[in-house]
Amino acid sequence: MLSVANCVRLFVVIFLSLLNISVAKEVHILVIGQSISSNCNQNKFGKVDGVYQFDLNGNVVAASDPFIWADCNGGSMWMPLGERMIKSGLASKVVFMPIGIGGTKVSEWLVGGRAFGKLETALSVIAKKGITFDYVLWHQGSSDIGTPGNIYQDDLHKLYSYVRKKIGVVPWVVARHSRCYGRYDEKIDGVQQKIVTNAPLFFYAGPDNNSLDDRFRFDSCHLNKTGQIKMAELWFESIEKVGQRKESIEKETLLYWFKKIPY
Amino acid sequence: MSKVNGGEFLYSFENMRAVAILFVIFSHFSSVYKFGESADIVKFILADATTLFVFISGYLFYYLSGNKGFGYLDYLGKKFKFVVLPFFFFSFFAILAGLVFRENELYGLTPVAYMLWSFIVGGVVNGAMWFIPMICLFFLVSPMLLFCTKRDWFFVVVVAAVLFSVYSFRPVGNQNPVLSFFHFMGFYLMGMFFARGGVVMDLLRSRSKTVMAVSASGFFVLLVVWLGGDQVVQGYFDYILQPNIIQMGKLFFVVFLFFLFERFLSKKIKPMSYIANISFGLFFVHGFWSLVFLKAASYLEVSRLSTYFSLEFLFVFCFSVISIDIAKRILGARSRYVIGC
Repeated sequence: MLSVANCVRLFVVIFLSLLNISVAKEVHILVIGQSISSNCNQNKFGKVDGVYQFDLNGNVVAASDPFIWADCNGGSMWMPLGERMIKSGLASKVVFMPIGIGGTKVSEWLVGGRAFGKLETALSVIAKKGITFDYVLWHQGSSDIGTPGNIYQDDLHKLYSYVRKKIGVVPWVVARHSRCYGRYDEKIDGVQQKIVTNAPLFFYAGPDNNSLDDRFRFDSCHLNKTGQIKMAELWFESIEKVGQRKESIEKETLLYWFKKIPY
Repeated sequence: MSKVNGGEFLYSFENMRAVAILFVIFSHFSSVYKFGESADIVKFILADATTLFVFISGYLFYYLSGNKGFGYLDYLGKKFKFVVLPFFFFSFFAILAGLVFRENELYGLTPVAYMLWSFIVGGVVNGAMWFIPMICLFFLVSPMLLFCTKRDWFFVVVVAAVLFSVYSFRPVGNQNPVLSFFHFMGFYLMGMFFARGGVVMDLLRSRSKTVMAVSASGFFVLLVVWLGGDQVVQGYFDYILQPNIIQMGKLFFVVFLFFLFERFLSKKIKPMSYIANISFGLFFVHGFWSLVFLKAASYLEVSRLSTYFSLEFLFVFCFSVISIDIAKRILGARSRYVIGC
């Protein structure tokens, strides 16, 4: 026999599920890219309640700029992003792991490249600790100015495949970033959009970093404080859309329903 | 397959089938998309090569069934034996490999869910196999399609379906046979329409050279449009009712090939006959050899693209042919139940 309390509980659960209300959760974000994704921006942001990072051993520790794994000693956009996600209710707790290296091309993250060692170290810590991620943010591109578009695309697909084997199918949110020090590569910009369009099960549209002019940059490449806050807002807008987009893609591929099979 | 009424052979279609399977195999080569700036041109030519196969399937279905008595259950029985059984056979190994390498976990699926999903969408491990669940839907609705061909409004249905095919895109990852079915429906019906003949076909046949010239021109104009556009290739709901430049190109390409082969290549060409006869086997097998080549190639340092392409061709095509030959020798007449040819 169902007690009154159980009936009420059941009613609330059914009601909430009908409304499709999701409860804010702990969100883990892996950031891969070049200097702009690292601590190479102008302003250092301090600690914020609910925003954490994975340390070199994979433990969750309080976050603040500069982030432990990433290059340089300045700041990033991840603290304001984490704060925005918590304030909006998108997450109750955000844990970042930015592993960017300054000046890296996408090919340098592949086997034999100068960033591969760091990627491997990070992935082994992730595996050892059983860390899972909700998003991978790919914020890179200006180091590849001049690289043919098809090579860039091919290399990013290879990197995705490699990382996927280690951490599973996680949405990769790809920023448009191909403007730095007065140079702009339209082809890399185009291919970053094409990657998202042509592999929608795996890649999702990220923010347009190229849209930020020199008012948002302190050295005509990396971001000043205004730029960091603006970029965090743009990342937030992109991440906010991923959930809905992921669901619609999974419905199109039937994964949405097959994921509900419990055994 | 290409045998027609009165025991005649449709050599034009046999040759076209050989071209279609070669297009499908080439479109799955990794090397052809690395041809630098030319990669986009190659993609326009090869992508959606399936369209040729769908058109040929529709044509042959009507040619072999439309004019004679059509036994639905007998037809389904044959399709089960020669299409579905080989699909089960190859899927079994593909899905097993997927489970061994824990692909199911990557997609967040339980092993049972992964098996069911893989069988239903077809091409999770061996990409080319998405085609089978889709074509099975055409088999299932075949009486309805035949019914349509006998009506005056069939032409209107064909035009509407073709318009939908060129104003829609494949589902993401080809992982939804129902959506693929609707997307490719236009070309299947077009094949049936071409096989049925009639006033429109008589008119086109009487001016086939002009039709070929217009088709070839249309194809090249669309190539230019494609090179300057967004180059979208998939996404059913994202791009529904938006122009699919590749499919529009394929529409011209199919018409061009049809008249080219009917007028000038309607004769036995031995290598083409051979490829056409084993086309279904090639379809099932080449995906596996492509996967093996990709694995092997990751250990090779091949800097010259032409060498890489040649290696891929030799490896995938030759090993596919050899493995089919071995299977046919071992299995004899029963090989159709296993490798489809």
